[in-house]
Amino acid sequence: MAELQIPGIELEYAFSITMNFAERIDFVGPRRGKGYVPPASGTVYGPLLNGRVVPYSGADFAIFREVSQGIKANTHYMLQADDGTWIYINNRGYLNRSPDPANPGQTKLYFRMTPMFEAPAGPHEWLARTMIVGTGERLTNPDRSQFTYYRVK
Amino acid sequence: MAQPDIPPVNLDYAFTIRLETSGRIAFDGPMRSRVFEPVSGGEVFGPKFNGRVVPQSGADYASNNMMDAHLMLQASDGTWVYMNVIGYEHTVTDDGTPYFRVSPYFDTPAGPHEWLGKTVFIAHAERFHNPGYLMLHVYALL
Repeated sequence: MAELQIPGIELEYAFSITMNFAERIDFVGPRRGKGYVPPASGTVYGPLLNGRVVPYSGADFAIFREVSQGIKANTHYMLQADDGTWIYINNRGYLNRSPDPANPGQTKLYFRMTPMFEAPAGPHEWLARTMIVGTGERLTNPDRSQFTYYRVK
Repeated sequence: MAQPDIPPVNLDYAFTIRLETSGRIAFDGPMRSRVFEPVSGGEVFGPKFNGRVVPQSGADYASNNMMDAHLMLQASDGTWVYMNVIGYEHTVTDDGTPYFRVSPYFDTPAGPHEWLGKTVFIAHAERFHNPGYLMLHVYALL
């Protein structure tokens, strides 16, 4: 396998989402902890998509695991583009902890995601057939998450 | 809206999966195309994981050029790893070769391979014929 060629993958900045939260509900299902975190509002902005997060259109139905394993995110929301188009987003991925440079000795939660979209034929159709990855972090005061999405070229 | 502050993002090559398939069956469900493409074997090699693709452990159940594969890997130390690959097959490239952009997700026990279950990966994949197999080059999103 010495001659194996490993092709590179490029990422291109696509858009950002700021999502604002008014409540976080944790509960325990039959086997494990579960979260219900609905968005109160949000904004989508960037070179490839602009619009809004539809308030209370869904939630992050996260699965809590052993602390060392982080949190498994599974969000279902609706977005609405500036031209009125409805877009469904299902965000899968993980929240893990890393040292917080701003607060020595503390950790902060960061996201790594692979969202899948459904969008009708038209200018936003590409979302439903393009691999996109996201990074993000959870912020406080006010309670919000900041996501950055990249198109996998 | 403030100018987006675009954080840097990095990919790290993790491993390559040679995914052998045979007996592909294509059929139509009520609304969309569906494929059953059983996994017949293969291997995994690279800096972060080495092992095998467990023969007959699953399949790609792709629908409308969206891959949705479920199968098992086994690390060279014997650890069982479940893998679900989701993503897209793109049929148009400069030379007409299909390629995939996919994201593999893993479930595995606590231990040396636990990081697979808390890391987001993306992969570039290509399809080969006679014998049929896919090569998935997997990168961790750091």
